[in-house]
Amino acid sequence: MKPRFEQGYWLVLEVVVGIAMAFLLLPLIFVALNSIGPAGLAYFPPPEFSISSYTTIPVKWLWSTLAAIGLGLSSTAGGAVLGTLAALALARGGLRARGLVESLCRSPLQIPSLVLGVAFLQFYSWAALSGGPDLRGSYMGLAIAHTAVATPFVMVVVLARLKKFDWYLEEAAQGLGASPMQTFVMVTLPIIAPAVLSGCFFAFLLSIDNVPLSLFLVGAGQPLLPVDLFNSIQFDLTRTVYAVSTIVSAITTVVVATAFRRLTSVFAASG
Amino acid sequence: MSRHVYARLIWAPILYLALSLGVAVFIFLRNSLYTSAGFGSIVATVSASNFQKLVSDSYYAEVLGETILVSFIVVVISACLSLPIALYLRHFSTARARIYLVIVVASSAMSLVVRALGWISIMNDNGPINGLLKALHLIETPIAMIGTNGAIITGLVHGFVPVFVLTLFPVTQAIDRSVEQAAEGLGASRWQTLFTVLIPLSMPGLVSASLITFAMCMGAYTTPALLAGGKAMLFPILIQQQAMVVLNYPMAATLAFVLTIIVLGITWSSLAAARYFEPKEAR
Amino acid sequence: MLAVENVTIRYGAFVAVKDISFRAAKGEFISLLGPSGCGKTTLLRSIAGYVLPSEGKILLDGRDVTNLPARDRRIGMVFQNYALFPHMTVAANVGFALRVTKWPKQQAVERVREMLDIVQLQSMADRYPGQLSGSQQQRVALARALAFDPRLLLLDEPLGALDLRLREAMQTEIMRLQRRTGVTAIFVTHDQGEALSMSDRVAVMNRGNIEQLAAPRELYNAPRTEFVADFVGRSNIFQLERKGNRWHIIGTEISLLAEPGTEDQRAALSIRPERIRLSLEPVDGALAGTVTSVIFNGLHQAVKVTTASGLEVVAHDHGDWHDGQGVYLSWKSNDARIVSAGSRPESRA
Repeated sequence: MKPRFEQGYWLVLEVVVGIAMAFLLLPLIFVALNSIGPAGLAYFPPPEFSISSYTTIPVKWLWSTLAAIGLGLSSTAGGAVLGTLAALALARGGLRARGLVESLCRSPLQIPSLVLGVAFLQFYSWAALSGGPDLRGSYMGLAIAHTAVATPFVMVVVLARLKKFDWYLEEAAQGLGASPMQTFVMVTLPIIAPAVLSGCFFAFLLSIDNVPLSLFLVGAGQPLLPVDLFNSIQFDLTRTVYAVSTIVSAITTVVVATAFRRLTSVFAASG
Repeated sequence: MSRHVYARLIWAPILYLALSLGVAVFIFLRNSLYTSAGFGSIVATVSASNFQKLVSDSYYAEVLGETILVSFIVVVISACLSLPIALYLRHFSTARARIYLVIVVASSAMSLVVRALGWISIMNDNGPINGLLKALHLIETPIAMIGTNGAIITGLVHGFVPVFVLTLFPVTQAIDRSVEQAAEGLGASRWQTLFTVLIPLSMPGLVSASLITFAMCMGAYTTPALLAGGKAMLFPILIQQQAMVVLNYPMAATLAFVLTIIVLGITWSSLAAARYFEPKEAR
Repeated sequence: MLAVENVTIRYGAFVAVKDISFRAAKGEFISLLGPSGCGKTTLLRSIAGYVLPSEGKILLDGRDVTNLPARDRRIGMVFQNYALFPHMTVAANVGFALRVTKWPKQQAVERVREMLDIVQLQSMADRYPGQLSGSQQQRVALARALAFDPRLLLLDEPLGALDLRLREAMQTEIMRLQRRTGVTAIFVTHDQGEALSMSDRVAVMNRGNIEQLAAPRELYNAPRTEFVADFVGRSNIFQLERKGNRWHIIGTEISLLAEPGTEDQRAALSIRPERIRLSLEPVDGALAGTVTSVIFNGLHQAVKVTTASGLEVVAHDHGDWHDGQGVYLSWKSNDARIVSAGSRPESRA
């Protein structure tokens, strides 16, 4: 009486999950398929097999990719330092206004990026009109905003790690004669380093794809990959865009596959 | 290091965030009380006129309602797809399950721009769906899918399912296997176990993942903007238009303020929900 | 060597350690024994320098170190969970103190090798703590604490995580190392067997006070307070009331002559179960009673007897007793100790 019913359960689960996976993969497959064919306006299926859409990618895409990587790296580095300091202080500092400070540090994660973009745009134009530095359309301006968003990303992951940190290790180091600085550099930092790196990884991925934050802050003609892709899709959708997108997703896949083990352990840990 | 040394470290991030984000938020909140003189210039007289306009002009309320509806549908569909995935990953440790996990993690890291492009290529007038329907002589002229709420919902579900799964996964993973076995030992079928044990115990994860997804959906810009094709209107697109097309900074600030309040409200209630579920687990 | 002088440690209104003073001689092994929450770990941590005493002084080799930071005290500590650095090899853990205090490299390498030899972990030098068993981690923690030639060795319930058999082996190991290095050791434990078998002297702590500091045998045979009598080993404890120059066991007709010179109106009588003799025939001064339960646990047989006057007495006796049997209880007068009345360990009270 039961078995057929039971089999039904597993069948439904297999089918639903299979469909969900196909759903997740489908658009990426079509991006790759559309990239094949002669350069120019894209439609499917392509008239002939060709990879000229790849060989004719203009060099401006390289600059815009490098700009996005540079922005991602610099803002992630800033976020790594600030986020780690915030996490250490929140976990260990015995701060009086801990809840308030933590919400403040988390807020860039919670406020929509679009709103942050609008806010920073208005901040920079106010600063420029009030005789301050003009950060509009500059990488400096972008990096300042992106660092603010990267900080809580690192902080959250490091904070989760510090919740399980055995603070007796620091006492042990001190009892063995280590100075506060030696304790931090030789004991605390190496132990939390994997968490810092994981946080950096997420912060970098977010930065390199954050259209709503960057859209308002890039200047006209200032290259930045996600914004250039975004604009090209809307106004100039050629096979070149598909080719660039395919390369971007291939690189993402390789990076994620490499970091997969560490990523899953962090997901399990930060629960 | 001792406590007071660690406590002092907080000043670096606090000062940084106060001087960047803090000032930016202050300026934009102040702008929401000013009025626009058109083309990006601002009249510095404080009034609530933007908020009055927001209330009196039903267009804003309509767009907001539309955004809430779209977000709600996205959350429901995402939950229905994510729960089976999370349960599957919990139950199986086969090679296929590992590949599924890689797909979910890789999707979550994949560029939203590229993923939206994928849907554009599938849904556009020359895309495979219209091509297939035409080849089968079911339609004469292509169906315009881009710009419909259906397209936007599809794109957003695609965007949020990986995040939903990865939020839910640790919770389903933590369910004690012996509880499941006990239910089966007491004669429950798989379906009964699903509805009486697995779903109730996944509830904390489902609730918090749903609220997080809803909040992110309300503020999502990239996917809706690309799939709206200039036709559909959601709240974040409206804000972008006010800021970059109409160049009405005060109105953009007002709308952004309203969106932020809604999103923060949802986020904080999700934190409260998480806290509500937590003690029961701990005790 | 080590002198603790009138140390009091408060956390807000809570007093964890109340005006404690004691001295440890060079090479001595002293245990701080007491139930959880008695202040033993807090006292140990103040000696190590992790907790600042609210009042009082701590002297090391005659020098006041009360306000000296932990890192300048040169005190080796073995933590309850070992606190081994998970990202360092066994050798790096053992050599940590030598690195941070800038020992000459060659000398440090030799010292690490020597320490690993002593704890018999030469072959594990390049492993990480996570790859070791509990007792191996324990030995690494000991080697690390002893490597920099500390002036004092502190051990905070280091055997708590081990199972019974390993625990006994490690007790011997710790004693061997301590004798070999000649270091003064302060050992915190809640296990009376551990304290008695390892220490030169044991300080029994209760509610922030030292109830008695004495050699193990004295502590067992001549407990000074009701708490010590009951916490160290098992004991039959009867409350006494002073009437004139005699003590009366409350609720009975039994009385004893009080020693002259005491003014106390209350006290307690402590008799070890193994010092009570059971017999079928009445002997002089024996109490009559009935056996109410007989429990055999391998080491001994606990015979519970209720006397005619209503006292419950436990005797350890290997005779062939059974429930409901009428028996006579007796003991030598010097096995019945009059101790000062006070609180008893909560779990047994």
